[in-house]
Amino acid sequence: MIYAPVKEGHAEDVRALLDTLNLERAPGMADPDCERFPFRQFKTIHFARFVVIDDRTLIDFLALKSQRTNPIPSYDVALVFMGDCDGPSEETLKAIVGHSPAAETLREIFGHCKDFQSETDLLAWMRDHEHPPAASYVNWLGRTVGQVRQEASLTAALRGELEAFLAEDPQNVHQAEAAYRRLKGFFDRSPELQPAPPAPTPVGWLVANLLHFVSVPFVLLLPWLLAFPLYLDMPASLGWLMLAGLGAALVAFVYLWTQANFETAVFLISVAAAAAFPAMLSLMLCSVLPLGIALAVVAAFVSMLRCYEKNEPEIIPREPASRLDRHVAALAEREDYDVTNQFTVVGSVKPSLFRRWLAVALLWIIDYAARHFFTRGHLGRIQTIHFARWVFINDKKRLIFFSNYDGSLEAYMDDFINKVGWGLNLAFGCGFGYPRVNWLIAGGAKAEEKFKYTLRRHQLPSDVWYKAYPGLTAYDLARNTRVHDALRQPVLKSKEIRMLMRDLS
Amino acid sequence: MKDQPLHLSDAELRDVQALVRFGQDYLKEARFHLVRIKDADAARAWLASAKVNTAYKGTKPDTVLQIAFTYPGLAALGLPGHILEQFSHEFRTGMYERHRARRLGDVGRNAPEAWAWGRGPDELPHVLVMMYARLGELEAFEAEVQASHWLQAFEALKASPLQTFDLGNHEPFGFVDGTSQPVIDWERAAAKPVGQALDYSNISALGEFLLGYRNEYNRYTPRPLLGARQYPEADLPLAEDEPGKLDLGRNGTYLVFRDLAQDVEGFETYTGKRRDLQGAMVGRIKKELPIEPDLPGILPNDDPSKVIPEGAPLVPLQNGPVAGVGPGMEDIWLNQFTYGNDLDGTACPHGAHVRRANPRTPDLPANTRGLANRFLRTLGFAAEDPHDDLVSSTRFHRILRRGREYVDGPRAQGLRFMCLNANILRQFEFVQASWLENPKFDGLDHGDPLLASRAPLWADGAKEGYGLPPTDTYPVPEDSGLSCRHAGLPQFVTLTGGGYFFLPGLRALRFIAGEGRR
Ligand code: HEM
Repeated sequence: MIYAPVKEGHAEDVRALLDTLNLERAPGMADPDCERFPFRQFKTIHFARFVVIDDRTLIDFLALKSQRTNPIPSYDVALVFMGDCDGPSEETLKAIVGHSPAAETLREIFGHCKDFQSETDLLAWMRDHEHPPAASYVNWLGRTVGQVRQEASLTAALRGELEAFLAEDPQNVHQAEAAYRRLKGFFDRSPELQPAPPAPTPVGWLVANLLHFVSVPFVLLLPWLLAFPLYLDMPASLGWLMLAGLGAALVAFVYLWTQANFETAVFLISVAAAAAFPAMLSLMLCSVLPLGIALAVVAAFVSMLRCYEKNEPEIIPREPASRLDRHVAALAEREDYDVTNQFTVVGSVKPSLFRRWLAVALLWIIDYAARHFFTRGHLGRIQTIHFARWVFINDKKRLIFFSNYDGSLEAYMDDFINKVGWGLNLAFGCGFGYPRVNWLIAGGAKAEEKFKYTLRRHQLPSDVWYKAYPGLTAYDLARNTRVHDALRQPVLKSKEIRMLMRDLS
Repeated sequence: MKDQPLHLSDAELRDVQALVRFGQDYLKEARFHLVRIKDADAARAWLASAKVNTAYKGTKPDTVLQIAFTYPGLAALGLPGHILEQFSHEFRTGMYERHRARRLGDVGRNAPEAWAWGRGPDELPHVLVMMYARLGELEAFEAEVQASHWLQAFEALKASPLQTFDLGNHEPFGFVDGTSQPVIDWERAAAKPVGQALDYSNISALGEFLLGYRNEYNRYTPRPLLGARQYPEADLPLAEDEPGKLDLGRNGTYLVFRDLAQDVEGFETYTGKRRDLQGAMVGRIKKELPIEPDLPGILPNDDPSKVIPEGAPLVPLQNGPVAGVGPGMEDIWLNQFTYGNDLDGTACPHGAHVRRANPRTPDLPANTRGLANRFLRTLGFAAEDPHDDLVSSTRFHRILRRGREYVDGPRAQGLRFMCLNANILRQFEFVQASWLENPKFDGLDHGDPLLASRAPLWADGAKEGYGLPPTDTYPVPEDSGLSCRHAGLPQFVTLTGGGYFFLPGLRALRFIAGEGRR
């Protein structure tokens, strides 16, 4: 994400300029073939957007008693340019800079930013203004734009073939095996439908990702390793206890692996082992000290957390209806043209150091979970998010959240509240003006109306938004991948054939 | 409020308009008057004297009068701005609003520009006066209702009055109507916390259909509350959640009105009069069928008729009870089911009208059992089927339907669709936009076979080159996994008018009529 303050008084100009990149019929929706910035030609971009960040809710700080004496925080209006792309973002930026009309347009846009001069080196400037996300989620790790489009074409072609098959004889609708043979033949005969094997994932990335993943289980399990000398003169009864624990962990591991994924299983078992460690240590040493220390640390954190959670005021001021209506209309004007919508919210972190660091820690956990557990089509129970990102700005005092989701905003909010309310509370509970959260995950989003009101109020209209595959939802992408994978198999079981037919129907 | 009895007292029921509790099906004649206010004083006088029927269960009245207002109507009656602005955003900005229309599928032939009424704030009625009577008695009743002040107070819209015609519990396409409705929890048990309802229930919290009470989130929906000191004369109840405030919303609700013209000829032609196909589109059986001997599920074996009744679901009945269904045998036959054992849609297509309008999903994916399974499913793992968790929990999106049919000749038939809900956005609009109109409902590519606009997935789809499917196809899944695809589905239903109304409680109605306001 590139973030840069806009020159005083230039916000409207830059908005007007950004509007020229949009389709005439759909405000806020990028024209993929716009000559001045042909998004479609940058083949690594899944989603991209320009948003002017102007937080209208900073005034809410007036409600804080301690702030009465201090001025409310003020930040420059800023411009954000961000994209979700394949490979390192550097490559995509280079491609854009190498395309002269697009680079020209970018220079014109960033010309409204404070520190951009006509002689500025565009690429270096963008690099300087890059803000790495605190957490990011990718619906399907490693699926490229090219693959998405290719698999969509494949599904469409197979559907056409299937239709022809069905049209030949009304009884064919009962002949899944024959239909499969027909499709398989068609697939094998049509090399143009078969995606080129994807570029191999760089080994460096794979290693880094693996290390990133094992770091947490490693740290959690480290005490067990360090305590190794103690095991040697441990009473036999404790030895049996440990063995039983290991056995139970193994069973749990296998179960979790079959039901979820390998990483989740490793992680959950590690957490359980880390939690069991102080207890085991206390037994081995015949001393309550280790358990006592562990409990004291946890208790200290919990009491601090509860103290904040209980005492922080819940500040959700109600805006006059006319102002809110205007705001909502400005947002709604830019929604529901495609099956997917964009979402950008900005807010402040609650004003205390504890909250700021808690937010950093929680987002790190979310990032970890998204990167290792939720890489195949769902974030918690939500299957409609393509990409999501949390980015700190202004010295971690503020946070921007971006996402690309399928369906209407109301359906998205509904998913948030009813499916992953706990996760939302983790992610946004440190936000100023968020409904009160208890124990990090309870409450919060469950205050349905307050939650929706707060998010809507903090939402920003997106000035330009681009999606590389309009008309396709995250579910469609997952289904198309399923279809493609099924046809690449040499043989399918009848259950799999049936699933393939369902996916193509 | 601890010391307050939770169930609604008779006194409160006498403050609720009858429509919330009764459909008045035995009153075969009904007409809906859409009027604008000419003279506010006369209008207030008429309202103050109107004898509006209530939800109190006494003897069945021979006539019923119900009154609802649009936002411009409330303004015309002189409600001050600080009250008006507390009504919901949807009510204030109206059904005709451009972006809302796009979301609801009111585009193309359904677009507000073409409506007979309600195109904008100036074409919207101020007051909706609904009159119901026994056969042949409506005219006399209307004359009585309109005897004093009416002519001076109101001016009818061109489209008014909206006629209705009793098709004997059927709608113009020939299906039994009014089969499934949510059951309101008048006893006011607390709703289950989010995520805890593992089984679909047909019982809805009172606050889903009446303002001023707790809803399915166990919270109060925002509504107009007034300072008690500012209106010392007002006869309004105190808000349960804010006892210092008078509750103008209490016992009232929002009424959604949509005039839907049905192309009966087009429907019969397209389907070739095949009742199985028509049934697959609606999701219910169109005519009586003899029982299939191998039909699984419970069969009330002492049932004398031994016939699946008309309007029965396409999926087998469920063995265990569904909360809020029954105890009457007929209701069990018609409603003791969910789609949890039909994840592949072979019994009832995923896209069928009733499956979309009420997917009967619980808070977690269907068939979640056991602690470990529940934990994993809460995290989004352990899916049984790709369709498992695509649809939201139904209990937050119920509506109470109160529409009536009309027949103005063979080519002018339809449904004057009305529904009640406390939160238009979360209930009616969600059902209409996310479930009926949205082609991507439950992983599909098409909207509701009866109702949807057939707008394409993406207007410039042809440019993309990866072949987006058309939205006017209706697949009916077979056991093989393949589907019979019915292509080129025309638009069978056209929206010809509509609006959002506020159906106040009786005390609130008198307040709107000016009592205790000055
Ligand atoms: C002309 C248009 C329509 C026709 C012909 C129609 C027809 C039907 C029929 C035949 C049923 C099954 C019988 C019953 O439960 O009453 C039904 C149920 C239902 N319809 Fe419609 N309908 C129409 C419009 C709508 C609209 C606009 C909505 C909502 C936005 C809606 C929501 C529902 C709901 C919620 C049910 C109950 C489903 C259940 O609980 O299982 N309908 N409709």
